[in-house]
Amino acid sequence: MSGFPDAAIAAALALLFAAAGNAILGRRPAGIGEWNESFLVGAGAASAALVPLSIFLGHRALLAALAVVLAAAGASVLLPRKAQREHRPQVPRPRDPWTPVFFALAAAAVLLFTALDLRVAYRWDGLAIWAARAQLLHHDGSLFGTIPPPGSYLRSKLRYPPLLPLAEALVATIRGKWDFDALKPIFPLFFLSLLIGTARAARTFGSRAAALGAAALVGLLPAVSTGTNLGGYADLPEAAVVAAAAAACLRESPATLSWRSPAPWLLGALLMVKREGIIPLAVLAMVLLAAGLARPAIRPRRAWSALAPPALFLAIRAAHLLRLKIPGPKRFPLFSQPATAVAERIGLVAANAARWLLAPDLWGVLWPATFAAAAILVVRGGGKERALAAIALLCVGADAAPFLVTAWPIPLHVEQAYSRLLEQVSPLAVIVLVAARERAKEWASGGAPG
Amino acid sequence: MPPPAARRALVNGAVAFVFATGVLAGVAAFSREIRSDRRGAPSTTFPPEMDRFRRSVLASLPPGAGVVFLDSGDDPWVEVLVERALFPHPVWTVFGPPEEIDASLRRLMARTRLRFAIVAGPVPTSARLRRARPLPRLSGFSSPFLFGELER
Repeated sequence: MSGFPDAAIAAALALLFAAAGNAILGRRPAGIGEWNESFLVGAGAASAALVPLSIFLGHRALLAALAVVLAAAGASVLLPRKAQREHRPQVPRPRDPWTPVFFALAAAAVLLFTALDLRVAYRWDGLAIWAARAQLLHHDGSLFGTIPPPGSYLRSKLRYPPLLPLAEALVATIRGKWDFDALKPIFPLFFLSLLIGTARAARTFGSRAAALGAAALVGLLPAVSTGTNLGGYADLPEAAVVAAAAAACLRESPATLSWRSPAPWLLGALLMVKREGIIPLAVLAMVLLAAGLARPAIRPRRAWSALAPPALFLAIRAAHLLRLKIPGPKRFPLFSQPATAVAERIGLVAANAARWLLAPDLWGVLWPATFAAAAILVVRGGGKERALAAIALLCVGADAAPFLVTAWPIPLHVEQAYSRLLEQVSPLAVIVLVAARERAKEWASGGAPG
Repeated sequence: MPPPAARRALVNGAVAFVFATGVLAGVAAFSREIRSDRRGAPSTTFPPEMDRFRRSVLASLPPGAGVVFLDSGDDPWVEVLVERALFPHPVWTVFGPPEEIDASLRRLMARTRLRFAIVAGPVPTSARLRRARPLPRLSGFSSPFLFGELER
C-alpha cells in the first residue's frame, strides 16, 4: 500500500510533465482543462523522447529523459504571461441545480477510485507487463537493456509503448528506491485526467452541468473505475489521452491549428500508451480525409505543420520496434487465410462482442444508448457531431476486428480483451451522449436540425 | 408528432435512465471492490513471505545466474511474482502438467547452461536436484516450493 510521500512524488511528476507540456505548446494554461492537456502532452513527448535517448545514450537514457523533462519544465517558466483580460461585469447565469449533484458524483468517483487504487495490489497485466517493464527500465536506464529469456511472458511485451513504464520508472527514480507498491498513486492522476478531458470535450456541446454529468458518468462506469484499472493496467491512461485528444480536436479551430496546438501532440501521445492507440488515430484520419474530400476546406499553410507531431511519434514507434528486433507473438495467423475463412467468423465475433457491449455490470446501458445517440447525431447533427458519432462507432467496430483473425478461441479472446478496448473509447461514447442530448432537446422544443 | 411537453418528458426520461443505470452500475461495482478488499484481497504486490523466499534463493544463487522455475501448480500468478522478486536474475519459466514440464526442461537444459531450479508442486522426473531444500511457503498458493541445483 502506498503512503503520502509516494502520492506526493507522483503528483510532482505530473506537474513536471505538465510544465514540460506547457513549454512544447508555448502557452501558460488558463484552467484545469489546459493543465490536463499539458500533462498528457508532456508525458507523451517524454516517452517519445525516451526511444532516441535509449538508442543514443544507452543506460543513461532514463536520467536523460528526466533531465529533458526538468529542462523543459524550467523553460516553461520563461513563457510570457497571458495578457490580463479586460474586466467585464459578470452577467449572472441561472444556476443549474444539477451542477453540484454531478460535481459531487464525479468527486466521489475520484475519491473512491483513489482509495481503492492505493489499497489494491497490482493485477495481471499491471504487474506482469507494465510494472515489470518499468522495473527493467529503472534497472537498466534504457528501453533496450535486459531482454528476458526466449519464451518468457515479458519478452514480447517489450514491444509495447513506453509511456506508463516511463512514468512508473521515474517515480521510482525520484524516490530513490524500487518498490512496486509505491507506484500505484500514478493511476488516480490518470483517472482524474480522464474525467477532466471528458468534461472538457462534453462542454463543447452542452452546459457546465452536462459536462460534469459526463465526467461523473465516465467515472462511475464499472469497466473504467474498477476491475483491471485498479490493478495498474494501461487502458486507463489510454482512455485519458483519448478524452483529452477528443476535447482538443473538438475545440481546435482550423484558423489557429499548427504544430504547437495540443491536438496533434495528444493524437501522437495515443501511440505512446498502448498499441491500440493506432485505432482511434487511424479512424480519425479516415474521417478527416473523408470530410476533406467531401468538402475541401481552405486552411492556412501552417495548419499542415500539425501533421508533424503524429508523424514523428509514428516514426519513433517504428524505430522502437526495429531496434528491439523481437518478433511479436503469432496471435493472428489467420491474416494469411482466405477471406471466406474470416467471413465465417463474423457472426461469432459479433455475437460475442455484443455480449460484452450489453453487459450491464460493466457499462450500465452506455453502448446501446451510444448507438441510439449516434443515430440522432447522424440525422440531426452538424458536421462535427456526425464526425464524432462516426469516429465513436468506427472505433467500436475496429476494436472488434482483430478477433476475426485471432488464433485464440474467439469467446475467450473477446472476453479477455474487448471490454478493455471499449474502455479506451468510452469517453467518446459519453461525449456522443451529451451531443445527442442537446440535439434531442432542440427537437423536444421544436427547433430545426443543425 | 407528440406535443412539446411530451417530447421533453421523453428526452429527459431517456437521459435520466441512461445516467441512473450508469450510477447504479458504478455504485454496485465500487461496493463489490470494497467488499473484496474487506475480505482480505491482497493490498501489497508480494505476499509477506516473499522477502524470506527471495533471500533464501539469492543466498545460493551466484551473481547474474539464471534459474528455471518449474511450475506444475495451478496458478501462473506465482511465476510472475517469482520473476519480479528475483529480478535482475533471469528466470526461465516452465509451466504445465509434469509430463510437459519434463519435455520442456530437457529441451531447455540442452540449449542453456542453467544450473539452478525452483520447483512448485511435485518434482518432475527429469529434474534431479542436488542439495534440494524447501523454500518458505507463500500465502495464497497451495504448492510447496523447492530450490536446488540441477544435475546434468
